Amino acid sequence: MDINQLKNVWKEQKTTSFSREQILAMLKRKSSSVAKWIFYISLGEFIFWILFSLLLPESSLKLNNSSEFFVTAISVVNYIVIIGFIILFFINFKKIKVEQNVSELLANIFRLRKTVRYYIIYNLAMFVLSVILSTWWILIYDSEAINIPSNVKNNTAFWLGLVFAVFTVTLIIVISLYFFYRLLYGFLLRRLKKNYEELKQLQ
Amino acid sequence: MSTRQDIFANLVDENQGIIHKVCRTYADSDEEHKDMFQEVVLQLWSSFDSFKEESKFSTWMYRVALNTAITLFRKKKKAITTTEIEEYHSHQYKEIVEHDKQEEIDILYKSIKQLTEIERALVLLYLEEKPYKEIAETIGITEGNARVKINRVKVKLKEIMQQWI
Repeated sequence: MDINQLKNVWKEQKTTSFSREQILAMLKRKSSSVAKWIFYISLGEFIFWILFSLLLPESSLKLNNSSEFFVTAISVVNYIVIIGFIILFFINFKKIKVEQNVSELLANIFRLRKTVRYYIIYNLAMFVLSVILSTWWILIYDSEAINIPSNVKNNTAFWLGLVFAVFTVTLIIVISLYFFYRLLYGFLLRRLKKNYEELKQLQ
Repeated sequence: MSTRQDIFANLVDENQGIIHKVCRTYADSDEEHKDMFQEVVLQLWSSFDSFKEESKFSTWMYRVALNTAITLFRKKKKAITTTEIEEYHSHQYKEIVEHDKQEEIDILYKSIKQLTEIERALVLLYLEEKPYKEIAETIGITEGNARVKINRVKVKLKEIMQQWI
C-alpha cells in the first residue's frame, strides 16, 4: 500500500461534527470542573482535620466537666458549619452546568467564589475565636486545669506574658492556615476568576 | 455585530474536522475523543487573543490541537486494551463512509496508533498535505529534518499497515 495514495482516503474521511452551540457550551465547561475540585478538596480537608484530631496525642490538660462540654460544643458547632459549607460546595458543583446560559453561569461562578472566600474567612475566624473563648473559659472557670504556680498568680507580668504567648502562637497558626488555604484553594479561585472574566467579556 | 465569541465559534465550526482528526489520532475511545476535543477548544479559546490574523486559522489550530493532544496523551497513564481501540475505530464513522473506504481509514488509524506521538503528528500533517515548511514550524524542527523524519515514518507506517492487510 502506497502511503501517498492514502492522502485521498484521508481527505475524504467524514468526521462527526459538533454544532456551533455545542462548541460554545464547551467554553463554559472548565468552571464546572473547578467547582468539582473545590467540592472534593473541601471534603478531603474535612476528613483530614478529623483524622488529624483523632491522631493527636491526648491533651495533658485535665479539664473539668463544664470545660469539656464547652470545648466539645465549639467543635460540634464548627463541624456543623463546615458540613454546611461542603453541602453548599456540592450544590454549586451541581449547579454549574454546560447547558446554562452565560448569565446564569456567571451568577453561579460568582456565588461559588464568594462561598469559598467565606469558607476561608470562617475557618480563620473560627480558629481565633475558639482560641480566645477556650482560653477565657479555662482561665475563668477551670484555672486548676493549667496548674499556675501560686507565687505568680497575682503577677501582672506573668499574665501579660501568657497573653502575649497565646497571641503569638495563634498568629503563627493563623498565618500558616492562611497560606495553607491560599495554596489549597487559591489556584482554583484564580482559575474561576479568569473564567469569570472571560465569560463576562463574552457577555 | 459579531462578538469575539461568535467569530471564534464560527472558525472552530468551519475547521472542526482538523480537531476531530487530531483527536482520533491520539484518543483511544469515544469518551476520550470528546474530552480531548473539548480540551482543544478550551485551549484554542484561551489563546485566541494571541492568534495573529496574518497566519491561517487552520495552521494555528493544528499547532494548538497537536500540542494539547500530545500533552494529554503523555498524561494518560492507563493503557486501554486493543479490543477497545478496535471497537472505537470500527464504529466511529460506520454510517457515513462506505465500507471499503471506512476499512482503509480504520486500518490507517490503527497503524498510526502504533507510532510515537511525534510520528503521529508528522503523519497527520503529511496526510493533510501540509508543506514541509509548515510541518517543520508546527513540530518545531528544521525543514530538512522534517523531510528526513517523514520519509522514515512513511516506511515505518507502511510496514505496520502490512500487518493489517
